[in-house]
Amino acid sequence: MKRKVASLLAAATAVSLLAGCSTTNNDVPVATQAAGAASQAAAPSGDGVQLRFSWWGNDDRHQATQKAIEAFNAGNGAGITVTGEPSGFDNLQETFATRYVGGTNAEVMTLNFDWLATFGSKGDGFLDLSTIKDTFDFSQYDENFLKTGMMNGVQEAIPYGQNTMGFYLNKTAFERYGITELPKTFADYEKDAAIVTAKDPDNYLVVSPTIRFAATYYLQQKTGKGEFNDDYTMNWTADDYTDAVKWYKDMADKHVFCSREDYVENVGNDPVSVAQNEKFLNAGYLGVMEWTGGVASNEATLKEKGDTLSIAELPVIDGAKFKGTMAKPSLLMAIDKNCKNPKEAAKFLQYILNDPEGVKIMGTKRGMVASKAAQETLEKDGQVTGIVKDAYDFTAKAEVINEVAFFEAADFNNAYQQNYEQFEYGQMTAEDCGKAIFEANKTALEALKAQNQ
Amino acid sequence: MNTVNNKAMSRELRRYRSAQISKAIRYIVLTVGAFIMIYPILWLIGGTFKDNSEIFTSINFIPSHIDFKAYADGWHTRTQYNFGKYYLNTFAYVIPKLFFTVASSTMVAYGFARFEFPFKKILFALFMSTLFLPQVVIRIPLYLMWKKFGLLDTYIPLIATSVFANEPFFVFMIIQFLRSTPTYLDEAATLDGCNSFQRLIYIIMPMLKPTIISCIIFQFIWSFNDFLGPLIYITSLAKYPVSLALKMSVDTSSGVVAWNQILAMSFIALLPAIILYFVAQKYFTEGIAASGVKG
Amino acid sequence: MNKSKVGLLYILPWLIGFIFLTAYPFLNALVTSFTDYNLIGSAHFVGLQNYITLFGKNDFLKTLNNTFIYTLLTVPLQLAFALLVAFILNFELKGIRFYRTAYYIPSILGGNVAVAVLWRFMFQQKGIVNYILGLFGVAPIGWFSRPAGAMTIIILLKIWQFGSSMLIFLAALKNVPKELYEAADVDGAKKFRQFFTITIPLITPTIFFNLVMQLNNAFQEFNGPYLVTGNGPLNATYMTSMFIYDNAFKYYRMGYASAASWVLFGIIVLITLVLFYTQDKWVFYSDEG
Repeated sequence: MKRKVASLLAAATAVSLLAGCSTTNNDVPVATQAAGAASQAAAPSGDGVQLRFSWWGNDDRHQATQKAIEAFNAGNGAGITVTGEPSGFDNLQETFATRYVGGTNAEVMTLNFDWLATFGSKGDGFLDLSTIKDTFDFSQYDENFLKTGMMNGVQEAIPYGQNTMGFYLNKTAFERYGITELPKTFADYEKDAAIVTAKDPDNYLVVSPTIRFAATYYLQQKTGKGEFNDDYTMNWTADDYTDAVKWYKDMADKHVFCSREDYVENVGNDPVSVAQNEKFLNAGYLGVMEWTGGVASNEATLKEKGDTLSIAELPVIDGAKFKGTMAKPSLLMAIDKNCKNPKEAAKFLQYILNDPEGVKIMGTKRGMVASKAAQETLEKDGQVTGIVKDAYDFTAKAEVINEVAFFEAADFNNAYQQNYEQFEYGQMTAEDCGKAIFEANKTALEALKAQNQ
Repeated sequence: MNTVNNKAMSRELRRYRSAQISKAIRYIVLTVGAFIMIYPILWLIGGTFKDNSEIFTSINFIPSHIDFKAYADGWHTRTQYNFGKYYLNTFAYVIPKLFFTVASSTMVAYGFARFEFPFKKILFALFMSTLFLPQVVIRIPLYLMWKKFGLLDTYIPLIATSVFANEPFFVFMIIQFLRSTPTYLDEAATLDGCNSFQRLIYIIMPMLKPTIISCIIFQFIWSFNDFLGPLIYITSLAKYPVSLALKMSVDTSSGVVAWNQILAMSFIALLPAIILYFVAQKYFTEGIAASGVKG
Repeated sequence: MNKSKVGLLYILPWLIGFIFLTAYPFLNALVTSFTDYNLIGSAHFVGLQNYITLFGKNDFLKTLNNTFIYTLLTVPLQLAFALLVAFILNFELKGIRFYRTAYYIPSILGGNVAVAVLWRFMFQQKGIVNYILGLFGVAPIGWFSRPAGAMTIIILLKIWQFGSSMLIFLAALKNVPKELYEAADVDGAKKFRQFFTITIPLITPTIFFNLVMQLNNAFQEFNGPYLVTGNGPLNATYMTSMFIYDNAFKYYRMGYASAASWVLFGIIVLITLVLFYTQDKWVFYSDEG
C-alpha cells in the first residue's frame, strides 16, 4: 500500500510542477510576449499607432479583411498598425454589449444596425464622424442613405451597404410545376400557389422568416409611410396592423406565404437564414422574402441542388400608395468615442471603404457597397457578378423607404411574432392581434423615448 | 442412472443456453442503444464529406463520396493560424484548470466533509447557494472586475474559478463521495501519527481516485467546449482556443459557410474528450479495490 | 493548532475566491435588480418595481410554469434512466468499455450543431419518429408546432444527454465493496433484489448529489430551447433562464433580468433546502457511523 501511495504522490507532484510551470511561467507571459513581438515587428518605427478593427463573418470575409489589413499596414507608411478581431455571429450581441460597457471594444468596429440605435441613440455613443471629414470622403455616399448612420443629428457610423427587402424565387422549382413566368403581382402569386398546392399541398411559395417582413412590406405600400419616425412616433394605427395580419393570414391560407405553424414546424421559432433549411433546399418553399445581404448564400446552396434562385419583381398590393420595399444598412462602421487616434482610424476606414486598392481586396464579401467609388472599383475589377450583380440592379431600380435605426429592436419583432402566432393558433381575433401589436410597439417606443431624454 | 445423467446434462445445457441467450439479448439491447447514442457522431463524420445542401437535407450519415479536403482546409483555416495553434492555446488553460480543479476542490471538499469549524453551516450554505444563481447576470460585473485587474485577453479569468475551487459542482461531488466512505481509515491513520494533510494525501486521495478521475473528465469536456467564457475574455486571434475557432466562421448572414469544414473540425475537437473518457475508464473498472486502500 | 481552525484552512481557497469571484458580482447583481440599469445610461434606483413587474406580467410566470413542468418531468426520468444504464454498464461484459463510451457521447456533444440539426430531422413532420409512430397507427404529429410536442422534444433531449449523471452513478457503483455482493449466491432475481437492498442505500449520497445537480440544471435549462425549439411555439418552451438571458442581452433590461435571476435563485434555494432537510430520512452517510 505504502509504495503505491508514494508513487501516486510522486506522480501528483510531478504533474503539479509541470502544470504550475506552464501557468505561472509560460502561458500568459509568452502569449503576451509573442503579441508584443509581433506588433513590434510590424511597426518598426516604434512609436506607431495601434488600432484594432472588429468584424464578424464567414471564412471568405475573414480572409479578405485580413489581407486588406495587411496591405494597409504595409502601405500606409505612417506607422499605423491595425490588428484584426474577427468573430462568428454566435452570441455576438452580448459580447459586443459586454465589451462596449467595459470600454474595451476595438477602436474601429463593425456595427449591426440595432446596436447603433441602442448604444448610440443620444448621438454620443460613438465618435462624431464629422470630426474626420478631412480624412474620410463622405461625398461618395448618398446623402439620404448616409442618414441611416446618424443618431440624434450626429453622424455616428458609416453604412457599409444597402440591404433591400426582396422576393427571391426558385426558378427551377416553378418550372417543375410548368410555371415558366415568375409571378409579378400578388394575383400571380395566388394563382401559382393554387397550381403548386394542387400537386403538393404542404408547399408554400414564399417563406417569410418573420411575419414582420411581409406585414411591413404590405403596410408601407398601403400607407406610403415607414412604420416609425426618428422621433419615436408611429405612422400606423391599430386598424392598419389588424389589416396586415388579416392579409397575411389570408395569404398563408392560400399558401402564398408560409403559415406561422409551418414555419415553426420546419424552420424554427426565430427568423433565420433559410440557406440551411431542409424545406427550402428541397423546394418545399419555392422562394424566400429576405434582405439582399442574405441572397448569395441562399443561391449558393440551392445551386448545389441544381436549382436556380432569381430575384423577382416586387409585387404591389391593390390601391398601393407606395410601390416599393424597405431598406436598411447591411452593417455599419464606427469609431470608438474615446479613440485617441481618430485620424488614423479614419484613414483606415477610407482605405477599406473608398480607396480602390483597399476596396478591391475587401471585395464583395460584405454584400453590396454604398460608396460610389467602391462600387465603381468593384465593377471595373469584375467582382460584381452573378446574383450579386442582380442584387445591384434590383437595388438600383427599387423604390425604398429606409427604416429607422431602432426598427430592429427586439421588442418590435417580438410584438409581431408573439401576437400573430396567437392569432393564427386561434387564441386571439385579428382585431385583438392588431391592437396588441400596436400597443406593444407603442410601449416599446415610449420606453425608447424616455431613455433618450 | 442414465436418464438422471441425461436430465442433469440437459439441465446444464439449458442453463448454458439460457445464459447464452440472455447474453445475446444484453448485447443486442446495448448495441441498439449505443447506435442511437452515437448516431449524431456518425452523421457528423458523414457530414464532413458532404456539401451544404446534402448536409441539411439528409438524415442519412453515409456521404455520396469520400474526400478529405474538408479536413485539410478546415485544419489550415484561412486565418494566419492553423488549428494546431488553437489546440495549444486550449491546452494552455485547460491543463492548469484540471490540475487546480483536482487540488483545490479536493482540499475544500476535505475541509467541509471531515472537519468541524466555526460557521461551517453558514459557509456551506453560502457555498451551495453559489450554484443556483443564473450566471447571465454576473457576466458584466465579472468582466468589469477583470478589466480593473488588467487581466482581459489572458487565460487567468478562465482559470481563476478552478484555482479558488469556485465550481461547487466538483467540490460538492467530492464531498458526497467522501461522506459515503467510512472514517475508520482516517482514524487509524491519526493513531499512526498522520496529520490532517498527510491523511488527505495518503488516505483520502487514493480512495477518491474514481471520483477525481470523473472530475477530470467533466472539467476537461466542459472547459474544452466552453465557448462563452473565451468569447468574452479572449480577443486576440493569437490566443483563440478551439471552441472559439470552431465558431469563428459561422455567420450564415454573411455568405456561404463551409459547413463540412466546420463539422470536420468539430469532429476532431470531440476526439480528445472521447479518447480521454475511453482511457480513463480503466480507473473506474478498477474502482476502490485496486487503488491501494484495501490492503 | 485547534482542530476547528484546520478545517477553515482547507476551505480557505474557496473562501478567498468566493469573495471576489462570486460574492462581489452577485451583490452587484442584487443591487442592479433594484435599478433600471440598461447597459447604456446610468442606473436609477426603482425600489421593488422590477419584482412587482415580474409578478404582474404573465410572461415571467409562464416561463416559471414551463420550467416547473420541465423540471418535474426531466429530473426523475433522467436520474432513473442514468442509474439504470450505469447499473447495466457496470457489468463486466466483453467490450463494455466501448459501450460505456458510446453512452456518454451525447453528453460530450452538448450543444454541437449536429444535435440541433438531427433533432429537427428526427421530429419533423416526415421524420423518423413520426414514421415509427405511424407503424403503430399514430397520425403524424407536428412536434415543433404543438406546445406539448415541443416540450416533449426538449425533455427527450435532456434525458438523452444523461451522461454526466450516469458517469457519477458508475463511479459510485464502483465504490460499493464487492464483498457485499459476493456473500449471496447470485441468480437474476436475487441480483435485482440486491440492487435495491444493498446498492441503492449505499449510493444514496450520490443519488442526492445527482438530484440536487439535475434539479439545478433543469431549473436553469438553456440548451434545449436555445438549440432546438427557440422557446416556441406560443412560448410553450420558454424557460426562465432564457427569459433572463433575453432581458439581459436582447432587450438590455439588466435590472429586470437581475430581479428575475434572484427570484429563480430563491426558488431553487428553497427546494434544495427542503431536500437537505429530508436527507436524514433517506440518505445514508458512512461517516456518521
